Amino acid sequence: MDDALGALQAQLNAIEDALDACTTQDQRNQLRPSYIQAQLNYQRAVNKIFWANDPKITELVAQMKQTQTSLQELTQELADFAKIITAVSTAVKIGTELASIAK
Amino acid sequence: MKAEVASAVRHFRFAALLLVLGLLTACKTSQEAADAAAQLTNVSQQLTSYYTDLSNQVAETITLQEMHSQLMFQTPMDSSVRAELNTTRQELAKRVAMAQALGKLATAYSALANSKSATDISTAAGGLASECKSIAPLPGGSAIPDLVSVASQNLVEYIRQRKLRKSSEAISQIVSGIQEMFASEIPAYKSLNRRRVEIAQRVAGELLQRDVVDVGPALAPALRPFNLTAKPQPNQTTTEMRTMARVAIQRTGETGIEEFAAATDSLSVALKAASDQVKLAVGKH
Repeated sequence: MDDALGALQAQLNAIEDALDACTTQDQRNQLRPSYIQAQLNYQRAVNKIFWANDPKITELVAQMKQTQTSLQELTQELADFAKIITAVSTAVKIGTELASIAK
Repeated sequence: MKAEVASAVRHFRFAALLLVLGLLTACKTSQEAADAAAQLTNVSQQLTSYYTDLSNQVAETITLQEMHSQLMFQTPMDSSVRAELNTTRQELAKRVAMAQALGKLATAYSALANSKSATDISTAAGGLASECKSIAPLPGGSAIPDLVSVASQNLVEYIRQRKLRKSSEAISQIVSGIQEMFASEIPAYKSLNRRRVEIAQRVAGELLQRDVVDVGPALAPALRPFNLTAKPQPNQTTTEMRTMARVAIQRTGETGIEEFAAATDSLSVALKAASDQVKLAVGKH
């Protein structure tokens, strides 16, 4: 694909060299259809490379979001766990104090 | 009675040793994951900047093609060519979004790897054990607070370690996938950059040819050190000046293309390195 892209770009450059060499506007205008076609051929070849990877990008982004959510949930669960133990600790402390008052 | 106490002490020491060993292993995994997360964050930022820059280059190519078309044909650029260039920009926007998603993933990975949840839980568990100890009939003696605190920390580290390993496995596959995709598209990235530089050179050359360019700034490197500035040309730029400007256009363009190619290869290597670092955290590097 590298070679194909390079060849299309070289073709584009060759037409642009020819455009630079033209001495009249009429000569340039005659080259315009070929120039447009060469531009389209090159840009479509680039886009074809990108399109080939589109399904992979969609899949990778979905995987990244799923893994990110899973990591965030676990981080939050661990943080919540500490809070729960602290709350239980406070409850036990209050219970102990209540029990000592009741004696 | 003495034998029972000695046995209890031996068991306690063995349990404590296991807990310490477990913590050390978990810490190693967490450290490797933290290192991998830092590397991943860095490479995702580089990737986002790279794709954003490339998208901007394509936008600039559209502007340059428009100028070229006006200079060559006195007419706007062909609409179908513009549409194809816009499609290229849309494709690059997808890659910017992908790089940003990698950045968010790296942040979540880093949050878990650097989380002090195990310490927090250990402290909270220690506090709970102290409270339990103050309840008179509870058996176990003074060893309970320390054991509960260390055991809970070890348990949390174990859970975190398992989760980090599992996540590292998934992240390793993701980064490898991105690296492979990036490598397969390198010819297109370099070509898009080259195309922008070349069309800019064409337009600059044509403007120079039409003598509508002030070449004064090109002389700045020679004059600036002596606080001098170029004198504006009264009628037209001399042939020597134009030749000099053409050489500058050619050389600057070539340098730009080489630098972009080197930056592209370097990013590909950085992606591979990040992938390897994540594999270390998986433990199968």
